[in-house]
Amino acid sequence: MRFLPFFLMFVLSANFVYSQKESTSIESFYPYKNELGINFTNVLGNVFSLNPNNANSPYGLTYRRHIGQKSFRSAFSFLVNNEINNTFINGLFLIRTINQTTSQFRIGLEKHIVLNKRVLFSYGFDLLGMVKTDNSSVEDFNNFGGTTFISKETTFGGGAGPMLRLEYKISDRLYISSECSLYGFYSSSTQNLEFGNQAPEQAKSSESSIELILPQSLFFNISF
Amino acid sequence: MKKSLLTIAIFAIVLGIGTSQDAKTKSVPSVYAEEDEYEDDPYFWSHSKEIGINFTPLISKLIPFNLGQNDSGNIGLRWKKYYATRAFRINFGANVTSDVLDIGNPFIYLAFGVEKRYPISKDKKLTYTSAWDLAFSVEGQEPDAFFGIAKGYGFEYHITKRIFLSTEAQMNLGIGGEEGIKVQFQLPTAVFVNVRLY
Repeated sequence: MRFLPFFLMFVLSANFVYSQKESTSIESFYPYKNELGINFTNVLGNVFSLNPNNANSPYGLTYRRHIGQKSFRSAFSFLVNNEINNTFINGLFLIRTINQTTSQFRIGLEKHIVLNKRVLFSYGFDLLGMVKTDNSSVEDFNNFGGTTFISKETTFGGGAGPMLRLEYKISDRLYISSECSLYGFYSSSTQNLEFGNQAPEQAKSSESSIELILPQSLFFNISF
Repeated sequence: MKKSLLTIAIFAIVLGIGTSQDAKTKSVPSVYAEEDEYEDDPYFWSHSKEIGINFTPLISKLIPFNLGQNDSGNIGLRWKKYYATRAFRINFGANVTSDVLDIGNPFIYLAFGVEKRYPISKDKKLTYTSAWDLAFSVEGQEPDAFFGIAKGYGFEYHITKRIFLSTEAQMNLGIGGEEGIKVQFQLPTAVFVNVRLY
């Protein structure tokens, strides 16, 4: 009968663990503090031949830090594209160069409501930012001295808006989520144009939008 | 000593089974037929708030062989406040941009109204709704405005007490466009995922 106290301890601790599992507090929903999310929509689409239509979320990567009932949330996306093309069209020899960089980010705060032990609803507010450069040039070597066309465009953008989010817990470390947002966004662009020996020209433009972005992307989140 | 230890062991096991049974009954959604803690509440949705998100773009992406472009309607968000049997609700949708090169469909949709929900099945998992809305919308590159009333009939499936799916058909009657009077029947196009908040 020596094993009886150990057996007792095991049974009592098992009960305790079981009853802890059943509670639907935010601490039991998020046992880990950090969460990294990857936009999985295209992977699913490519693997399962799903519908490729509809726009995607611009953000590829998300990071969230849980602080009690609230979470700090952030998302990033970064794109660099450099191209040099040599073309020979209708007796004209051209070199086209394209350098593009786009970086988008957002930060915000969200508050959670645990609907059941597997599903969580969150609402919050985001601040958005965007920096975009688009430099292109076309060099023509056919005339004497050649002609060069250079375009340099820089765009800065910012916005804000509320968001709603639904998250499904697969396990303590794995979650899938999707979200909906109402973002107001303003961006301003400056474009410098140079053509041959002519004086450079500068054009400025701005754009504003309010858009209710419905859930279009599925994020696969890993907690650590 | 042995006896008392054995008694404690049996008690602990019984307690364990009891806890797990209790937990089972808690996790199984058998609460649809129950009403909420307020005695005068006729339904489990009484005195609650609901938020609905149009999930059609995501759902349509995840359905194989559904390769067409889908129309998810103008309503993106839905908010309801249920009293005992009736709810006040707001429907909202927007896509507005100053970019002249944007070839999308710009629109604003806003509607306020009242709704009543009726159970279809005994367990109240299946329900239908009947609603009257005062709706305003502006849509298209060359704006086509509408102002009028909308009669809506919705169908809902309650997955759990706090999460449910819904869709709705609407009959719009009002003024707008070049014709003056506009009558339009809107078939169910969107699937909403709704959450209930207390």
